[in-house]
Amino acid sequence: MQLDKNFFIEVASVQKFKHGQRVCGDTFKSMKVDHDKRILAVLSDGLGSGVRANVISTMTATMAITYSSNKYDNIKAAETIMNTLPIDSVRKISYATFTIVDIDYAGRCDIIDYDNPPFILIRNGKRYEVPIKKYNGNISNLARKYTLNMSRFNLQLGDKLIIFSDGVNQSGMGSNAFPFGWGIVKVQEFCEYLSSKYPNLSARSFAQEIVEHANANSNYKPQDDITCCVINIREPRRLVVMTGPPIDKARDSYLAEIINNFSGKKAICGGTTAKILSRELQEDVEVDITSLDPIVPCSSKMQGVDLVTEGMITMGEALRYLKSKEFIEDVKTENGATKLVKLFLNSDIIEFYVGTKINDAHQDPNMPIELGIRRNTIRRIANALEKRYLKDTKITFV
Amino acid sequence: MNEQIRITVCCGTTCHLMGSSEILIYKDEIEAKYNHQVAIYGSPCLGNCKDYAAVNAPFVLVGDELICQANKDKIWHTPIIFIRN
Repeated sequence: MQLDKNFFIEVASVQKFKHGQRVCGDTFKSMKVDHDKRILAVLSDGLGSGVRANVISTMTATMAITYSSNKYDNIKAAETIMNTLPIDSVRKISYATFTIVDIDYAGRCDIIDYDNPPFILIRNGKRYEVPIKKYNGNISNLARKYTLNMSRFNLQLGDKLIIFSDGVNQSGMGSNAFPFGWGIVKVQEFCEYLSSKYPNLSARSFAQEIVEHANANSNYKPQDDITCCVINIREPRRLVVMTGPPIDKARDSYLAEIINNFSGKKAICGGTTAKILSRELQEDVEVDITSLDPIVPCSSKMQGVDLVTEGMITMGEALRYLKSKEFIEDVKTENGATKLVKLFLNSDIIEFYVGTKINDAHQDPNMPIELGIRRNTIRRIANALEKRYLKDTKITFV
Repeated sequence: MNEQIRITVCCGTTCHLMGSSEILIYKDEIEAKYNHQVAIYGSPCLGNCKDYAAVNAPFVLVGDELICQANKDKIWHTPIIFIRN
């Protein structure tokens, strides 16, 4: 989400299941509440592990995010959640921790935390202490006391907010290196080290580093579900994608002007588009025939442009990657489509300039596969980027 | 020594779907056969799919000569004519 012109909130989470489990007992949910221009993120850790924990944490996270998206009173919401959760058959209690993060367009941040490890705020490479207000409550019908940690502060450009489940700070517990687990202090030091050594690390990579480290602490056999969520406040990274020749030849120079004056990363998807822009910008396009792939055609190189690929097949594949559950980091093949998806995911604001001219050859029934209409494919890609990856997109038809 | 002959293989959508990448796989073999007097390059869409029907793809340029429905065997034999000239 865009705060104003110079702010962007990037949210990412990485999970690792407890050794031997097939589902995660932690749940992370994030949501863009567009009409309010807010971003919500909830991390919940269910009691125990496996399916039981998964059910409890999913319920908690879903309730928490729904309540806060409707601006329901936090304390009432917390009590309702605790009253609603099913009682664990083994331990005879109902329990799931949660942390709710609510960031609005001006950078105001509200965090409500119930029993999760304290969050970490990194500012200028150092940990920043945030005042925490404690609220002690009592649920009368369960005869149980609880404490909510509430904090409210303003976020600044360059801040990193890290929330994690106890699987991170308790990783490696019982081992010789960490008899009492990694520990919150060590986690904080590790975050400071990461952010000062790699200041431009993306939220996903940051979370990945922490989870991998926790996983390594427990000898790659985690004793609890590990979840880490990183919220990164930074300058937006922009990407422009040019695809398709314009319907009118006179607009070729307009496209060239945009790509020339654009500050950010640049991608061209489409052979004809690349030829047009190479003519207008007077730069050569060179096809890289060493990277052969059975499905996606070769990508090319052009001076001043970060990525040049073929059009319809590559974008179709990119859409498939964006919609699949597999993380792009785990895809081993390297082709034009994976490069394009990585470029998408490493950007925040993506502008598409879509030429609407239709290549008749693509509509020939003799073609072995059916090629879609460019406009529709781009709309689907933009939709997936907005809904699933919380990116900002803009489509202009030329 | 003759000048090197440039073989341009179209990597556009149409040509790719009709099998132009098969030729690129045999790049080294074809170049070796002609003692590196030919050189194979890729190219974004050459624009021939607009003028000819898509069944004529993939398109390859050997020097300036356009070859329709190109495949590995056609490219394997075509440059001989040019080199003998």
